[in-house]
Amino acid sequence: MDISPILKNYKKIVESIGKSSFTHVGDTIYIIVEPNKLRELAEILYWKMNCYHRTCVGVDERPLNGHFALYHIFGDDTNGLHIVVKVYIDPEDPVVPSITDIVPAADWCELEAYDLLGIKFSGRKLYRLVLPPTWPHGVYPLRKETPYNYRPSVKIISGEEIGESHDKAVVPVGPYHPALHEPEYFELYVEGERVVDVKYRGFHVHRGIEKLGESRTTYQQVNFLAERICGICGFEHSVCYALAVEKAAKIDVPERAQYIRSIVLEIERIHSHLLWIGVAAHVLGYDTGFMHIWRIRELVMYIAEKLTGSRKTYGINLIGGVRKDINEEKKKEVIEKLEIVEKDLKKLIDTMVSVPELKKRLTGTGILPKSEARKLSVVGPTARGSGLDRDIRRDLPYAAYSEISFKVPVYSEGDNLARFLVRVEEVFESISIVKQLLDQLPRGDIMAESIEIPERKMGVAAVEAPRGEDVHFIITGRGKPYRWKVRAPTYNNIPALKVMLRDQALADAPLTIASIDPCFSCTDRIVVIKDGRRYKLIPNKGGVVLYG
Amino acid sequence: MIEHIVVSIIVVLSIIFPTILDGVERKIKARIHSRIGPPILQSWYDIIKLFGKEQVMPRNSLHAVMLLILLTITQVFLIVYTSVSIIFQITQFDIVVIIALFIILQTIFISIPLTIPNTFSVLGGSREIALTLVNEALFIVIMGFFIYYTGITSFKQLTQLSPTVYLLILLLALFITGYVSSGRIPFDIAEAEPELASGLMIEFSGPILGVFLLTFHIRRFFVKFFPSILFLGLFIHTPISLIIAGFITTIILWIIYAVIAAILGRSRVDLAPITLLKIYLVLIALSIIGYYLKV
Repeated sequence: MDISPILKNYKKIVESIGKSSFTHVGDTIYIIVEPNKLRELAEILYWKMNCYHRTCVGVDERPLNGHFALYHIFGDDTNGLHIVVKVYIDPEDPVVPSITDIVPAADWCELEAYDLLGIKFSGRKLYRLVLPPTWPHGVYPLRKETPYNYRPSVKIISGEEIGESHDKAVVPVGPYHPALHEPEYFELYVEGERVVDVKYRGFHVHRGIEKLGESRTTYQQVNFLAERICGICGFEHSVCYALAVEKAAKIDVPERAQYIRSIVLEIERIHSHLLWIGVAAHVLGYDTGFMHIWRIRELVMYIAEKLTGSRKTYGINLIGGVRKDINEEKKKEVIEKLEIVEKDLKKLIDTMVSVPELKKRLTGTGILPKSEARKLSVVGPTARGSGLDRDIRRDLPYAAYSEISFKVPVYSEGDNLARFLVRVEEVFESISIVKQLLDQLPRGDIMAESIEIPERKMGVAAVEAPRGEDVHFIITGRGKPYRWKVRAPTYNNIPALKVMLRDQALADAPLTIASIDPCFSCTDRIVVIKDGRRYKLIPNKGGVVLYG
Repeated sequence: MIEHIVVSIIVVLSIIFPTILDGVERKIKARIHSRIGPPILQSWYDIIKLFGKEQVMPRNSLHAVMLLILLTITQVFLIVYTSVSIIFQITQFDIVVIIALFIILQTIFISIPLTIPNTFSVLGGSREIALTLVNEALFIVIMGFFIYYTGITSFKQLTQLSPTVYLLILLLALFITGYVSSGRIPFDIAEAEPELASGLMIEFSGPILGVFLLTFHIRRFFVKFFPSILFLGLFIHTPISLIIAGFITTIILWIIYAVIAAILGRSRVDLAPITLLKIYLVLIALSIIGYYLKV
């Protein structure tokens, strides 16, 4: 597709705003804008140009140019473009206009920049999102002067009161939910069995992974750190990180490696969706479906082990390529196993959709209207279940996705059934994709010959993970990233739960929460590791102490 | 003499065996799930382990514990009374007494969570009430029709009965009430969604939870045993044969119910009572038509 008229249009918009600059590299447009023009530009991009908001990134650029910077990353999926809007911020008075009233999807990332870098946003309410109440004021973890191993010693200075001053009955869900097995906390305000309001508190386990990536690890090591962001779609994060660096450093990855990445990415998607379908069946009390789906999933884990050496697709991705090749024997076995998966799954899904309770409880529950989905820039099956036809694999193809054909299932109902069906169809599509890729697997190297990463280059990459798009943003540094920002899909999808849960039956709340396939560890991104041991932070009288 | 021995065995088995049957159910479900499952005696192991645990009284829930003790005693009494009255008529209104006792038991059962100051318990309790209002109310209606059609109020009188279509339809409805009362999927809405509404037992632990589980298993046994006796009474007219056949039928029913529960999903509090009401009303209407047509 010839995108020059589109680029001209964007350039015209930027020029009309005034006092701004426009550059274009590959699939990314970079715009630098004055802070007082940011809101105007955001409105044009989000509502007139129909772009989605991927995330925003605060960066401490004082060592580079004496300023803080804020990058808003928009996505023009229709034309296959990332649009990065940069604003310089005065380091003495780091204030920038908030755009959340125009772009509701920017709510959390602004708060994260406030928490981690001390960037203030005018025109909105600011509160702590990521940092715990025990964290001292005035210490910003992502500022360059804060060491990665900084440990606060403070008294508890604030505590959020929960379940107070509300005239409705409060039903707490979390901090550990038996169906989701991750730390999250929802307060559901109910009248009878109807949910009338929802409050969410997350980030219980913020891992400071970005800081670690910027401080302790080398470029290649970050691949393995990125994998640990998620226990389900770790390979997606690793690939997304590698793509961002490869884009920034203009590294050519061999075709065969691109194919292998796509194959493993799709295996991960099949695994993740099967896991979710099983969990959904369990939440609906249909444990027979749950167990059989997980029996089928076992074969997918076997395939993952064959291809990567681990049942969890860990450890094969690097910047510049992959570490493990696929030989003829593996190819044959993968295809054989996938055929069993396809056959068994078809049979099981037919049975599942004929269970009357399942159909009744999935249909018409947890509705997310298209307009709300658009407003919040939701991603993945949550978006496609609400009629948003977006899939990064097709819209901004990466790895080997441009070489194969596949359908993107889209449903307009926006209910739990729509999200269920999107995932089911995606499993079959992924099986077809893996078969096509294995069939066309080209010969050649699996690793780039030379990898040189210059400093101060920027890269944005998005990968369509099972839950939606992962976004990784990189500014290169010396031997390691200067700034590495990760945005997991759940980050954009959780705010939609408020809409989905309101005015629904309480009994459907667990299913609706599960229907976005939330990954709280992805969203939170923590584990404090010191000397190879895992620590918890517990508050005591004198402050916060490490406890092994 | 033999009657006394049989009654004693049945009474003891009615208290011990339900927990073994629960183990059988877990094994059957496991097989349907294509997994091995726990040993058949696992439910007993669980209860024995719970009895060995520390006694923790739920906070502000003394009434719940007292009601639980009352529930357990009444439940055991009910199963003993039912078994004995099948062979030795205690009163001329044994069946009516059993219905009354069962309704009292259900009332205690749904009262327990409402006395616990915990959102999840209250939610579970209110869901159980919604279901009980349909199921147990219709249980009384069905039994009312049974007594009206047959004029029978004790097991001894069952010998006068012969099978008819309208009675069989009524008994089918009675078996369904038994299934619902046993709290199985799709009607386990009080216990559904573990963290949202763990229903009746959320504040119970250790020996108290053990007692609750034991009572629950006996209750599950009773809700199958009672309709089985009424059904078999149409065909078997010897009390000893009737009680033995009733016991065996209860085991078979337990297995059938386990399979049904494994192939269905969970309903919702606004769906289940309406669905049930429709089923019961259709069955009762059919039995009325059958009664007046003398079929």
